[in-house]
Formats: sequence, structure tokens, C-alpha cells
Amino acid sequence: MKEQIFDIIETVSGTDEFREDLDMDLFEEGILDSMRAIMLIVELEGAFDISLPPSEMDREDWNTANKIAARVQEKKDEN
Amino acid sequence: MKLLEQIFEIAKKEPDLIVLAEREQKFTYRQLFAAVSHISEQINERNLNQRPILIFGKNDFITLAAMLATNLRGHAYIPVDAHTPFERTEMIKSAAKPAAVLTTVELSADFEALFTDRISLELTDQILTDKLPALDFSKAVSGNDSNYIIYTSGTTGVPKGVEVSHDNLVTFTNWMNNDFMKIENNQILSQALYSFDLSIFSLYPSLTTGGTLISLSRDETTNFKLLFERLNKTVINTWISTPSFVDICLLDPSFTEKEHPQLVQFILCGEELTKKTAEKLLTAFPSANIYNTYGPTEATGAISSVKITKELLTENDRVPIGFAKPGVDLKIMDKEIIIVGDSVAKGYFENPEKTEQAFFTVDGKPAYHTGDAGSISADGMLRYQGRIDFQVKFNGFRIELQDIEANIQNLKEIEKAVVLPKTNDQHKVTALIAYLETEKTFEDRAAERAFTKELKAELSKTIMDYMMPTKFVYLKKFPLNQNGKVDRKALAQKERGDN
Repeated sequence: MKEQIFDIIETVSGTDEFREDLDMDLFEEGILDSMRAIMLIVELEGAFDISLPPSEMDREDWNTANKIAARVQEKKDEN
Repeated sequence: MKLLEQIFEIAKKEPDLIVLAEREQKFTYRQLFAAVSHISEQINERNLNQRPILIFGKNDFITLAAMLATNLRGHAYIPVDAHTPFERTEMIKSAAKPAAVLTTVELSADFEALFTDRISLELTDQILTDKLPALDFSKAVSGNDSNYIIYTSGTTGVPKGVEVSHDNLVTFTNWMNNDFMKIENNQILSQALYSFDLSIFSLYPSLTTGGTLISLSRDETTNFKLLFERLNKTVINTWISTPSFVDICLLDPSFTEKEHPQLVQFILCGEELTKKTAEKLLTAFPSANIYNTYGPTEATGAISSVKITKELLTENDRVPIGFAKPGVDLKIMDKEIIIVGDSVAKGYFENPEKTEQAFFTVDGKPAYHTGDAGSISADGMLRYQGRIDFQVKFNGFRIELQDIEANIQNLKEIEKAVVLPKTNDQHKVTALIAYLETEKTFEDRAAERAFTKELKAELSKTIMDYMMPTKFVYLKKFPLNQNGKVDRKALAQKERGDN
């Protein structure tokens, strides 16, 4: 599943730079911004059949590839 | 009456009305003019020439006060967002040659060195407790005096300043107030950066009608959790933003009429409103009045509007951009939308060449070439059909693709750069792809990634973060068309690695 999430991040951001360091801050590095984050939410919701309301998304919990994978896993477990 | 005097009248009548609410603090009209008076004295002490004043700050109370104080002293203001990269700020400063720089944020060492003669402003207890001061408006900007100069993306890679007069701003504000600002104690969203023209939709209509600006900080607009915490505990009556910002909010189940019963009016501008976004917004807020508006910075805020209804969306493939405001005539010349009338700005600040290319007169009235393709139907409805040049709107931001290209071409090892937008089925730009011609060969993907990273770091000094291409594709040679020009269509097919 992780690999699928990383593929989605890559599609949305247009870059695979983050694969070198999965703990890199995607916002600091300019890989994600608000609009790309929104696209990411939509893609992740569709791919994993989960709901990710933006109001629950503190940037600190969503700023690296590893954290995004962990959050998606949590949401899947809740279902 | 001058705009500033109109605002002062409100302060005299209701000094304790809230003028602006930040996340942590609220400010009154009395405090606004106490701050304006205080800042105006600091400007006065410098014995400046009458050139414009550059204001480097964020969206907050003190920066707003600085803009009004600048106008009170008879200067135009140039709003520059504190997030602007250093070298780009330098370009703006050297083009504008301001009489002074006002700063309302803490500066890093390089900015301190750039703004050596600055006036640093901060909120003091005295400002917050002062009585409403007596003010002299005799020097304040009026008539054809320049009110503000907003720097926007230019095709040469150097930003150009759109010079807007006091009377341009008056005609816009009067239109807004007559058509949209009839709500008592109006709570108005202020989300757009002051350095963007969209911000004046919120600022002047609110200030001249005794409204309250609900001011969102950068922290709030970039962190969804903070954004919704604020939105869900704040009363907003009038929503003003780009459609892209609405898209963010619509993704959350809380953004509905049920949760926000007092949110009764939406005014959208700054980029094309897609049918999808319009439909979603109508569904979420079925009884709200939703308006699509249109206008470039060069025509002061907006010059046309239309109410969005189900029928309008059913009858049109693309959402129309509306009917002209009073004082403006719209014409189509060679498929291009031409704006004629009192909203047309003075030109590009001290740039006669660029001004002459875009500004002209029709029957003695000021006119502007928008670069937008469009049509007008018999009933006067204006419809947008795309650009006739290389300007795009990306997430609501206006970008000249040549601006990015020129700044990439200045970097080492890059021969040529072409930046192309990727659009979806709604005509919305979803990404910017940079195609670079370079002799460089990469051993592997890791080497290419490292090079891209370096390139982005360099590029981020001269272009705004929203201009940064999503993807960089390296080619040995660009495909050319029969005329020997870069074949953009063929280029768009190229993905990395197939040179």
C-alpha cells in the first residue's frame, strides 16, 4: 500500500524527489502546496475508499511521505 | 469625498466597531485611525519626495494602517508580500525607486540590508488605546493621483507595476457598494494577499460601509486544520476569494449552508470559475447569492459580474463572466476583450513601452487590451474563451509563462526553457511543466533529481513560490516547427528520458 501512496504523491507533485528521503518536509521543499495537497486528498480518498476531511489535516501530521502513509493506514484501520 | 474621508466618517460615527479581525486579535475603526495617524507622522518626519512608498508586510491590521497612512500623506503605496523572494523584491524596489520603505514584519539580514532606510512599524499600546485623532485630509490622494501600484508577473522576467488612481478605486468601490454591500454589519472574508488586486474587493467596500474584515493569515490559508478551526467559529456574511480557495473549502463536509447559515453571499474572482466548482458551491449553499466576476488588475478589481443560477449553468458550457459595471464599455476587437472606461488604470508605472502596448484610447476614453479572448452576446453577456498569449492563471495566481522561462534561462547550463501549462477538462491549469534544453547528461535518475533540486533552489530566489514548475523535463534539443520556432505542441508530448 505504501508504494501505491508514494505513486500518488508522485503523480500529484510531478516529482519523485521525495523518494530519496521519505521524511523530507514536502511543504518546505515545495513538493506540495495547498492546491496539490487538495489533489492528493482527492486521489487518496478515491484510491483507498477513505474520507480525509481537510479540517482534520494539521500540516504537521501530513508533511512527509511517511506520515501521509501512516495517516492513510490509520484511516483504513478505522473503517 | 476622498475614500479615506469616507472611511473616517465611519470611524467618527462608530469608533468601536470592529474594522478587522485577526485570529488572535480584533481592532476597531478608532484604533485603525490611531495607527494611521501615528504612521503618517513617522512618514512626515522623513521629509520625503512624492514618489510611491513600498510596504513590505503580511495581511494584518498594521499593514492595512500603513497603506492608508501612505495615502493620507499623498503617496501611492506598493504592497509587497513578506513572502516574496529576495531577488524578486530587489527587482521591484529598483524598478519602483520608492521614496521610502515601510516594514511591518521582522526582516532577515539580507532584507535588512536591502531596506536600510526603512521605517519599521509595530503595534504599540499607545496605538491601541489612543482616542480617535483629528486628521487633515488635504494632502491625501484624490482624483487622478495614484492610489496604489501592484506589481504583477511580466513577460521579461521582471515584474511590472500596475498604477491605479484614486478615482479608479472609487468607481470600483461604488459599484461594489451599490450592488453587493447591502448587508448590515457585514463580516467580509479577507483572504487574498494585499499584494494582489483581489484584496481590494474586500478592503475598500468593507472599510467604506462599516464592515468587518475577517483577515486570514498565511498560517491559516496553508494549514487546513487551522483554516477550518477559524472558519467554523467565525461568522462570515460575504465570501470573497478565488475559485481555487473555494475548492479547498468545499472538500470539507463542514462547508455547507447548514453549518454557515449567515454566509449569504459569494463573490468569486481572479481566475476562471469552472462549472464543476460553481455547481458544487450552489449545492452546498443553495440559498446564497453567488457571483462570478471578471477583471484584470489593469482594470481595477473587476468590471463585470453575473449571478450564478442553475439555469445559467445549464444554458452554458463555460460559466459566463457577466455584464459590464457602470462606467465601463466592453468591446471585442479581433476576438480580444477590450475594456473601455473609468476602471482602466493609468498604465504600467514608469514603463511607457509596456504601457503603450496594452493601453490606448477609444473615443477619447481609456482602454485596455486584456489579452483575453471572448465574446459578447446581444444581451451584453461577456464570455471568456481563453488567452491569446502565454499568460495563465494557476491556483488563482496570474503568471506570465515567459516570466518563469526568462528566469530559468538565466541559470547556468540551461540553453533554453519553455514552460507549458497542463490543463484538465474544466480548462483549469493543474500543473506547470518546464522543458529545458541542456547539454547536460545525467548518469541516473538520482543525478537528475539532484540537479533539479539545485535548479529549484536557484530559481526560488527570483520567482514566487506559486510560479515554481511542478515538473522539469530535460531535452538535448527542442522540437522545432516549420518556421524554426519551438514546437510547443510536440514539446508537450515529451516526457523525461526520451530525448
